[in-house]
Amino acid sequence: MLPKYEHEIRDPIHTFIRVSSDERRVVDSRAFQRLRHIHQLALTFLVYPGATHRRFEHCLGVMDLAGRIFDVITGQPRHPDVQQIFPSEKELDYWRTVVRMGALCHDLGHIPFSHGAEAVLPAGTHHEQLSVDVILSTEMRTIWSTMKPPIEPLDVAKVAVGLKDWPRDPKEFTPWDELLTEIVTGNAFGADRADYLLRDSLHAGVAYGHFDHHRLIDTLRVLRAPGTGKPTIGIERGGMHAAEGLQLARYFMFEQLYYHRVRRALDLHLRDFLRAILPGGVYPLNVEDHLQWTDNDVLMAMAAAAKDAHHDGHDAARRILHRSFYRVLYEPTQDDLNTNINAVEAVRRAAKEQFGTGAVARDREAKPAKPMDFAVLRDDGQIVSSLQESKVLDRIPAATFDRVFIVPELREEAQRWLNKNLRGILQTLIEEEGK
Amino acid sequence: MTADELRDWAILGRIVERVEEQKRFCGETLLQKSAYFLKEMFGGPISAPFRIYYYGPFSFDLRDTLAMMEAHDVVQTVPHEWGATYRLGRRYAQVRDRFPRTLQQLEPAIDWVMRELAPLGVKELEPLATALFLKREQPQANDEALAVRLHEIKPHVSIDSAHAALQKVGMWLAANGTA
Repeated sequence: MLPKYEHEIRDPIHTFIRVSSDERRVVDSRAFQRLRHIHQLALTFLVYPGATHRRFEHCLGVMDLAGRIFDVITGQPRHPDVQQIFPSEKELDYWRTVVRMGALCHDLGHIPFSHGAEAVLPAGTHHEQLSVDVILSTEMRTIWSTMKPPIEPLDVAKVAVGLKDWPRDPKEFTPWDELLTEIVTGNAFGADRADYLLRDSLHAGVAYGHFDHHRLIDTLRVLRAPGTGKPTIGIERGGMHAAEGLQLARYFMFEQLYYHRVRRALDLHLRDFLRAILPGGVYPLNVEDHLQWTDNDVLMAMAAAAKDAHHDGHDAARRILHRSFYRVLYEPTQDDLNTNINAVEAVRRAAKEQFGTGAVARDREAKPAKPMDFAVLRDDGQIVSSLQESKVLDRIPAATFDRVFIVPELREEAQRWLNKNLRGILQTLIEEEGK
Repeated sequence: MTADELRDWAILGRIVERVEEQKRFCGETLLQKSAYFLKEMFGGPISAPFRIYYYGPFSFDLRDTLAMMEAHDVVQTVPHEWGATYRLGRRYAQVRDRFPRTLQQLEPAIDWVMRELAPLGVKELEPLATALFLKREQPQANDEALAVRLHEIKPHVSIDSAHAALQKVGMWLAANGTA
């Protein structure tokens, strides 16, 4: 029987994901298998019961998409203005492997419950630092060095993490590295973003994350950005609606799923719980310690803490597992913000004074509304900004929220108090210099 | 928002206001580089940390700040031929009025930004800001070595352009007494 160099894994998004024998060695590694036990969407399954999928299958999906994008943008015909950026065909084989490996490994540094818990990492650090450390670890280097041909681990790490979150000297990135990392981590068309929108949408049971990713990938091209002349990943004009679809999907998914008020409330309790159980209240940055922690370990500890009234994490555990999580006390109206741009902070401080520190929390986030600007190759051969070609991109609003939470046992009392005092609270100017 | 965050909003909003008065394009790159020069050359109280990115020194914290400012209608973005231009939002005055002393103290530095940086495009801002970054990072290195380094990390900037950028930044630093 002939040896099998390619393996297939069934996937609900991409049907079959084909994996080489070298890639399977990475999949079978301890670091990658750990991702079977890291939920893709943290505790979202307590809101959307179907959202129990894990980082494991997402990473396989990103690898599949990244390979397809690589094949399209390095294939023929290439735009004549960017010919010189491409290495030889033989070298391209190496870089294709690097891109797929980088995509496969891009989430190895996620801590339990991934983004939901990232606040317990030491100040100023992100999971990407752990991803790089795992990729460069002795255990993984053994795999990289015995591949045919051997793979330079730093190349994999760069593609996995991208320049934005690169924890080392950013000057290590060449223009070619910058282009390759766009395939995985790019804002406009990155494989990570494409896969998580499709996958999260499917598992959560919401339709908002769908867009025509087949069409989008087929129209990708390496082009010189009109503003700067820098080689970048853009699209042919025919892919514009698919690109718009991705941006709209992202906006809806943030509003509907990722910023869901209950999920965000659960995140706050989860962080409190993790701070109570982690040594020193901080997640370890050591690779070996990191590989020991999964969602399963945290959920086990949480179940025990919920039963033990003397456990430091008892309150947080109980609030998560017994559905006694924070409820929304206040979200500002446009009128409130016209009166006081810092209205939410004013309410938080007043509520904290009234009900005590532990009863009140604030949570906020904003995704940029700045229109997505990328290069578009028109049918007449001109390269222009997507903002010139699209009637949609500049109209997608920012996904944003800013809330004050209150513990559920005080909710009614707090709501009555707020209704009575809001006008007065909004007159409080918290931060002001003397004139 | 904390006092530092609101002060950042006031300073960035003031830059947008001045660029708007000049009827120039106010893209994110100009705001990023202006904030970087204000911080590094004039000691302006900008809280965001900067690092080298695609087009020179860049701050992801500052990008988040701009997103928050936009979400609160302190600034707005309007599509432009290439990229989006920032303009003032309806609530900028609320922020401006809270930081009169900071803005008064920074006004000469913002005048400088308007004179030296606002007329420039992305291609010109990138080598200048990168030159300042390298001069700050390697204060002992001479311009010859820094020009080679600048060209290494930004190959699309020629050695000659790198030299010119370093020379100009050197003159600015000397003129401002911050060399």
